[in-house]
Amino acid sequence: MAFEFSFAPEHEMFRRTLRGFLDEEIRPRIDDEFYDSEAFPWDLVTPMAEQGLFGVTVPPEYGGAGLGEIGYGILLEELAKVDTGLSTIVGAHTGICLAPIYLFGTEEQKERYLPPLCRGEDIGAFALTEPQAGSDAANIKTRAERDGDEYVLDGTKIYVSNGDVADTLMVSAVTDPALGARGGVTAFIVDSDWDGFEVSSKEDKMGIRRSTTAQIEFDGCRVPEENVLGNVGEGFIVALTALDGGRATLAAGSIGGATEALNRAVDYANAREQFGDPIAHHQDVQFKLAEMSTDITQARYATYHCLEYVEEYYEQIAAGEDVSKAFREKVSRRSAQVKIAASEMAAEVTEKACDIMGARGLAEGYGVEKGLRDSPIAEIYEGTNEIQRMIIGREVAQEGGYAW
Amino acid sequence: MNIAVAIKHVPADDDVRVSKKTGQPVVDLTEGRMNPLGRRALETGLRLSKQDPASEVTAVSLGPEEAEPTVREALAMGADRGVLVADPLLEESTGLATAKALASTVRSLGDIDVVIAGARTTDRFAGHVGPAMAALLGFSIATHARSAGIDGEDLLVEKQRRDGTATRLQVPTPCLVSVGPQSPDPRHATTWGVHAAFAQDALERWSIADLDVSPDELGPGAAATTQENVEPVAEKERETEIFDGEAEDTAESLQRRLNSRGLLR
Repeated sequence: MAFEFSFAPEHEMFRRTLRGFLDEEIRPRIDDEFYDSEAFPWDLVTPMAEQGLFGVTVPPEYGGAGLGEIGYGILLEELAKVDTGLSTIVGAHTGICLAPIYLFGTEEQKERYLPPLCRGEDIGAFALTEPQAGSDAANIKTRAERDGDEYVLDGTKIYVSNGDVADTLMVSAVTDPALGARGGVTAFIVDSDWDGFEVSSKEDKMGIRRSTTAQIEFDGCRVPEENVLGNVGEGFIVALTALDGGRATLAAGSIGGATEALNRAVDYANAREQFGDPIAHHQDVQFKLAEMSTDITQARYATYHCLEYVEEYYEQIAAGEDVSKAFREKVSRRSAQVKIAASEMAAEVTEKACDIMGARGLAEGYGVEKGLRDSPIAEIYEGTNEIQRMIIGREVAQEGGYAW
Repeated sequence: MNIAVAIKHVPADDDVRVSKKTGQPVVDLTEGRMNPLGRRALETGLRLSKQDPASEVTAVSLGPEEAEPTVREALAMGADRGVLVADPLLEESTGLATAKALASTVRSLGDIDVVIAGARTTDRFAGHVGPAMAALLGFSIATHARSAGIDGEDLLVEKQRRDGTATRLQVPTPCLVSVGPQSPDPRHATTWGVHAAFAQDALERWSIADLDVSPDELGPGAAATTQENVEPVAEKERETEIFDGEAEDTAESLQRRLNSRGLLR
């Protein structure tokens, strides 16, 4: 990999056309007020789907746009500038539902599920977390019991983004309780219109309100064996591989959110006058702006660099190659690092934007108040930052300051 | 119906910078974009092609290598072919020379029924390349179109006048249509389009050797008119006055002020 940070012309054009679309078609329809968090924003999702924003990573032969992980990072970065709820919808759909089906699916599964997901006609979701299994994901209890050529799913999944509207879900369930996470968990592709699948409730969250979050009950839901994703007993690898990429693109979303906060603060600082000058001329404000911009730049470079690794990693898996343990660990560690760095950076940058804007920062309608509500989720979902620290810390304690 | 759309790669910045030395606008194409009316011309062409499944839309651009993203974007928006005729001579061509090169490109494409172009470009603002091209090709012409539709062998072109009335023209093909700002808003390239625009061989690269025009007819010396200089025109100063208070009082104040200026009769 060349040590060169520049985007390919294809990705440059994607970013430019995407910005044009978002600024003209989506941004004018977003207000910063408290959106009804139980209403999935179909009015925005439908034009986004027509624009091809629901299958950017997948190659054209399965209906996607073939823009890879870098393209997907660009998508989440730009989308999060407009609304973090929208980037969460696309993230839950693409990064952790579409991606594992593409990476681990059989030819039949890919041909059946990917084209409608890529067109956004079907919405995807990922169901792993359970009431007793959050950071301790290995402790999931949802049972998948074999019955002839079917599996019968029973259990509860919580915090499922897109869960209430999803057509297709990637569900992790226990096929062998004796083995647990080490060989006893299997991934399934589940259609939400099957009997025994029920959305039992929706969360009312402080932030990312355009992204809906559902609790799902499986009550004797019969899943045909051809819907096992990957090998039986390897469901944890499927889930973790999807999360490795998901985290790095979430970081791109955090960068978008932070950039938006910086831009709002800059606009305000240039317009607001105190002591006879725009406050942007005051050194304390300039220092804050400098810090914000510096932190965004650092996280951005690290994130896109990591996405290059993810791209290579996923290419190897999709091609059926054996991925070396060292490379897998490196990608996993990197994505954990950029997720921590970018999510915490975004929270800090948003707070600084709020400082610069004073009371306006906390008022509805100026963007930053919404940013304060939207940014914390990135420190939580797809593996809390604490869990990421545990993983990185354990490795560092063993290996010291490894070469990168 | 075979459609060719002429699109120019222009500086992204609308503010023309004028060189103090030459008095000429400085054309910086490192940050370039598709000429906005060219974008509308392409949209008009793509809509026209929907009416006849056998149509093919070819986007054509002349100019420096920097114009490549504009041709690729035309492909991403849905053009079937994208041709970039790149040559340093074309970069320096204006007016009639550009029209000659474009007309020759259209002839080389062969079998073109309709040429669509923007009524003008943001950088040169001449507005005569389209008409000159039509004259050179011997095509009929309709300018400042709002919309165009296929009507048998003809095009039905609508233009909107400033007084709000619309004129409908029956234009026999082959013809050239230049589109104005009232033409339909251009679409955004989809992700699938962006990917397709970068497929191998998606972009066709021509040079002036592919054209039936002699190099003597191109370049800076070949224009029929020359641009003397460019200088800023002072804009009239605008005044803003805000009336505070109850609606009735502010309406009264406004009326008084307008009256005092003789603006209410």
